[in-house]
Amino acid sequence: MEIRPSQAGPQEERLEGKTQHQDGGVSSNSHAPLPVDQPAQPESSLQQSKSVVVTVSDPRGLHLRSGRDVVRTASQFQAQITAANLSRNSNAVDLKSILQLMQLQARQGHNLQLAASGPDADAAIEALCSLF
Amino acid sequence: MISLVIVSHSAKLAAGVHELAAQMAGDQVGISQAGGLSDDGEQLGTDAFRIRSAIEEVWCEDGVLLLMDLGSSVMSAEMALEMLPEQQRQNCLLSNAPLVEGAIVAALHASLGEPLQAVNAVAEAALSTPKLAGTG
Repeated sequence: MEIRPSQAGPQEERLEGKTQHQDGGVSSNSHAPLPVDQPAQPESSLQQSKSVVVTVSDPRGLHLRSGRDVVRTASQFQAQITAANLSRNSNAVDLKSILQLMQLQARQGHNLQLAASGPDADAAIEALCSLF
Repeated sequence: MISLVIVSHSAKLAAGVHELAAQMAGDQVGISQAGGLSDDGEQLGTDAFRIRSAIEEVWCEDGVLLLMDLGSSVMSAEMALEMLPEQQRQNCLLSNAPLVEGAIVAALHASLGEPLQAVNAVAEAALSTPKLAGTG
């Protein structure tokens, strides 16, 4: 596994903006509701935003069983977590959805950008990185 | 934790979907199947009595989600529910989800401890989730 910190800084608040910035403005996936402005939620130091790029190491790619483990792990966190397949220029999808995860069609060697936003974003990314 | 019932015209298809779902759910989720008209898989079709037995096999208070292939699977599943005592029937739900995707998603989310309606909602979301990225 190979993990590289992305250019996205912690000051970036929204995953959507981050993804668009990094991928040259891909449109958001209608099946992957990304975080939007939440006026009711005050600025909080607890809000974290974290993004990394991981490389798929499994020779069979990201398949159903490994996807299951990703969704199980992601579901343990409150943070909204998305993944985009940089190698396919894909939109970001919800990492807590097995069907959306399979849409990434991630083969061995593909680079996936994981992005988390929420109070436990750092821990979520750390836990997820080891699964690819 | 809810249980799942796989309903198909084909015993082999039901067994295969069951196998996939079990791999997604681990050992924690009760899953049963009602496929075909006979155990040997020779006769294709759906049978309300076999479906009722499958429901009774895994029935629990948290609920039972039924995933069907199509056509008479749905009608037979409805009839099976009508055969159940009211107290059992009210915890059963027919899912509109496609069989394979629905069973995979439902098994995973059932194993996460999500309630019946929530599991069904994510399973039915498969109706609007294309398997090829960038389509639909």
